[in-house]
Amino acid sequence: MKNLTPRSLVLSVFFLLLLAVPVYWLVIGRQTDKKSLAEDRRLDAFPLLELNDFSRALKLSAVGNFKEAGETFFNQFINRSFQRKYEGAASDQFPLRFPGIVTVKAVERAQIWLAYALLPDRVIPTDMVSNLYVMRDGSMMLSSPFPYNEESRRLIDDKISFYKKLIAKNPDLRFYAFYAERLENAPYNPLNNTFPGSDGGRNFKYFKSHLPEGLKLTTLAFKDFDEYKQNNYRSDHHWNIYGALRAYDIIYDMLAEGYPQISERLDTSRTYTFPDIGFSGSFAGRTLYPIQPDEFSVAYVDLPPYQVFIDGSEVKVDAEERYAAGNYRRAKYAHHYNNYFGTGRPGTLYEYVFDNNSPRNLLIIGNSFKWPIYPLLAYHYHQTWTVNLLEHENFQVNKFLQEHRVDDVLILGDADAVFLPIH
Amino acid sequence: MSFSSINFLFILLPVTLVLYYLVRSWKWRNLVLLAASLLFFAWGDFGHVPLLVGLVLLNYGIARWIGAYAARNQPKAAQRVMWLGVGLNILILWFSKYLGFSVGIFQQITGTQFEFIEPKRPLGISYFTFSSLSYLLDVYYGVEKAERNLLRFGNYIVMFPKLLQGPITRFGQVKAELQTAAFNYEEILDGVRRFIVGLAKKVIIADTIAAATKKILAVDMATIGADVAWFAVIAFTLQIYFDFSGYTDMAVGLGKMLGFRLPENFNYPYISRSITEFWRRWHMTLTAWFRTYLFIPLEFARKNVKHLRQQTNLFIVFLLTGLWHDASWNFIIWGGYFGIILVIEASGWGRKLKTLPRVLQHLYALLLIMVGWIFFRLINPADWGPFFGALVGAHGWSGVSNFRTLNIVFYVPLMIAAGFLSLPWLKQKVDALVERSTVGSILVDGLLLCLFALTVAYVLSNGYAAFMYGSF
Repeated sequence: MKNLTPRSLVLSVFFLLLLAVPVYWLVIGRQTDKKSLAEDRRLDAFPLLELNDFSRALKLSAVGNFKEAGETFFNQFINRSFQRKYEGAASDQFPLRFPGIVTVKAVERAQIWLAYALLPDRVIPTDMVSNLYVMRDGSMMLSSPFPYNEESRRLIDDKISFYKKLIAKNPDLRFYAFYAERLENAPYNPLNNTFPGSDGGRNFKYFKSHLPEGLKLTTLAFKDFDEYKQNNYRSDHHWNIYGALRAYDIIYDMLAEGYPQISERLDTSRTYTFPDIGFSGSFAGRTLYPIQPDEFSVAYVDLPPYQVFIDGSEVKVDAEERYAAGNYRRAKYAHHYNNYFGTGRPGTLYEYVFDNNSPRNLLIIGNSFKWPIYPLLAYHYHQTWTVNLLEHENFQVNKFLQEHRVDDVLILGDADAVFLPIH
Repeated sequence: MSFSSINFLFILLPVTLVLYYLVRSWKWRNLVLLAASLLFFAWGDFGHVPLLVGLVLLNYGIARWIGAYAARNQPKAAQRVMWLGVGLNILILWFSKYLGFSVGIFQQITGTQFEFIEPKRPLGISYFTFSSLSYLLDVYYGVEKAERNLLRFGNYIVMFPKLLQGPITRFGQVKAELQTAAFNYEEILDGVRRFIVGLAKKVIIADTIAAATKKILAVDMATIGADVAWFAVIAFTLQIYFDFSGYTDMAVGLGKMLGFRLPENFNYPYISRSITEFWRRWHMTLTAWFRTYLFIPLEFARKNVKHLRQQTNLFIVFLLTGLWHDASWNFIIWGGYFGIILVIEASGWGRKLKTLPRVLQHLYALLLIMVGWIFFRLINPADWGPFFGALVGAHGWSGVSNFRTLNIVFYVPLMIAAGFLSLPWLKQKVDALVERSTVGSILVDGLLLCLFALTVAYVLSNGYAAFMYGSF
C-alpha cells in the first residue's frame, strides 16, 4: 500500500469494525438462550440449515417434484422466513447491541428536549417510537389517553353482549367484575386536554350505565393524579402493592355480600420494601427512559399451605421464599412484578387449591393486575382457577363452567380485561 | 438485502471485500462480484433469481446477435434483432410490473369483472431492465461493442451496488473497470466516506422523518389543519431526498470500494431555481436515460412536426417517467404535472423566470416540487382533495389531529437540520477543511467513524426499514 496518509489510517478502523463483528459471531457460536431484560424476551438465535433437507430437496427437484422440494427446503427462502430469522438474529446478537440502543434513545431524548425546550407542556414524549410520555418532573410515565368515541362504545357493547350471554347460560353462578382504573382511561390524566376526545372516564361510565343484570361491579378509582401515583408504579403499567391491597379489600367486600360464609379478611398490613431493588418496569424497559426506579414492596400475608397447578400439572411457587432469601436479580429492568407475583406462563390455566372447608370455587378471568392478589382471593375458596382470555384465545368459558364446579366468576383487571378488548 | 441491514454491513460486505481483493485477476474478481450480487438479490427475492439470470443471458445473446449482424454489415437484420430485444425486455417489464394495472384499466373500460392475481414484482426490475435496454441500444448504434465475456456482462447488469435502485448505468461507464484488477486504497477509502454519509442520510434522517409522514397520512385527512398538512409536505420532501440520495451515496461509495465509478444521481436538487433545473439535479441517471433513449430519438423521429414538437416530446417523456416509477395513476399524473410545467418553462416562462429575484425563483421551484410530491406520495387520488383542502386551510389552521396528538413535535429539530443538510454549504466547508488541513481531515474521518457507529446503533434500534425506491 503506497502513500498511506494518517487520514487513511483513521478510516481503516471502518474495515476492522466490519470484520470484527462476524469474527465475534464465530467466536461466541450460536447463542440460543440469551435474553433481553429490558425487552422481556429471548433474543433470536441464528437459524440452522439442514444439509440433509437440501440434498433431499435437490433429489426431489431432479425428479420434477418441485412442490415437495419447495416444502422441504426452498420455500423458506422464497417466503423469506429464513432471511427474516437471520436478520433478526444478526440484529439481536450484535456485539454491544444494548449500549447502542441506549445511545440512540439518548439522541432521541436530546431531540425531544430541543423540540420542547420552549413549549409549556407538562408532559413530554419519552422517545420517538413508543408513544409513551413522561411528566417533565419525572414523577410518572404514562401512555396516551384511550379515545372515547363510537368505536370504543361499540367495543364496550360487544363486551356487554358477551357478559349477557355468559350470565344467561349460567344462571346459577354469581358474576362479579372489578375494574382497576388506569391513567389512559382516567379523568385526571394530564394528557386529556391535549388529546381531544380522550376517554377521561367516559368509557367506564358508559359501561356502568349499560351494566348487564346479574353482574356486580366495583372499582378502584382514584380521586386525583396524586392518589393514582401513590398506588401505581411510575415506571410500569401496573398498580403497586398498595393499590393491589386496596383492590383486595374492595373485592373481598364485594364477594362477601354474596358469600356470607367467607373466611376472615386476611391481614395485609405487613409490607416490606426490598432495599436493594430499584424496579424499572415495562414503561422504562420499552423506552429506556432514565426515570428514577420504583421501590419494590410486597405484602407478607400468612397463608396456609396450598397447591398450584398450571394446565393440570402441579408446580412449585416459591418466589416469596426466593426473594426473602435474597435470591433475585439485581439487574436494571429485571421484571420484579412478574418475577415475584406472577408465575408468568401466558396462555395457561392456573389453579390454586387450598385445603380448607370452603364450599365454594372461584374462576378469575383477568389480566396481569390479578397476580398480586390472586393467592389472597384464592385463600377464601377451595379451588380457584384463573385465565387471561387475551392470552388464552382457545379458552371457552362456558365449556369450562360446565365441566368444573364453579360458584363465583370474577372479572378482574383494567379496561382491557373488564370492558374493552385489547387495543 | 438492504444496504442498511446488519447482514449486508457485517456479513456480505466484508466477506465480498476480502475475497474481492484477495484474488488478483479481474476474472476471479468478476466471479466474486457476480456471486455476491446474486446472493444479494436472492436474499431479498429468491424466487426471481431465475428471471434475473435469464434476462442476463437473453440480453447477452441478443447483443451478440446484433453485433454479429452489424459486423456482417446487415443493418436491417441488426435492427430487427434490436427491436426483438427491446420488445422482449419491455414485455417482461410490463408483465412483471404493469400487468395488474393494465388489467384494471381493461376491466374498467369493458365493464368486465374477473379474478386476477397479480404476479409478485421482481426487486429492481425497472433498473436492470433499463440497464439492459441502454446496452442493447448502445450496441445497435455502435456506441459499444457486444461484450463477449459473459461474466463481465453479467456483472454490468447485476452488480449489487446499483442492482436494485440504480444509479442507472451505461455499459461504457463500467466497462473498463470490469477488466482491470487495480487496488487503490485511497479510492476505496473515498468510497467508505461516501458510503457512511449515505447510510446516515438514509437511516438517521430519512427513516426517522418517514415515521412522521406515516403518522400524519394514517389519519383522516379531514381532521388535519394547514399546519400539519404543510408539515407533512415538507417532511416528505426531505424524506424522499435523503432516502434516495442516501441510497445513491451508498451505491456510489460501494462502487468505489470495488473499483467502479458509478454515475452521480443527485446534485442538491432543492437549490434549483426552476423545474427544468430540478430535473437536471434530481435522479440524473433516469433523466439522462430518457433524454438519450427517448427524447432525442423522438426529436429526430418527429423532426417534420412544425409546432410544439419539443413540448409534446417533453410531455410524453415525463408521462413515461411517471409511469416508470410505478403502475399507478398518481405516478402518471405526477409525471404529467412536471411535464406540463416543463413545457410551460420551455415555452418562454423559463426565460421570464430568470429575470425574477433569485429568492422568488427558489420559492417558485421549491413550491412546485413540494406540490409534486403530494401526487407522488398520496397513491389514492381520493385523498388529494381533502389534503389540498387542508393545505389551503379548509379545515382551519390546526385540526383535531394536531402536532401533539400525532406526537410529531420532536421531528422539528431533525427536519430543520435536514433542510440545512440538503444545501451544499456544509459539504463545501468540510471539503475546504479537508483540503487545507491534515488535522481537519483526520477529524472529519474520526467523525465519520462515529457517525457510522451511531448509524449502526440506529439500525439496531429501528430494525429493518425498506428503501422507498426498492419497489420501483
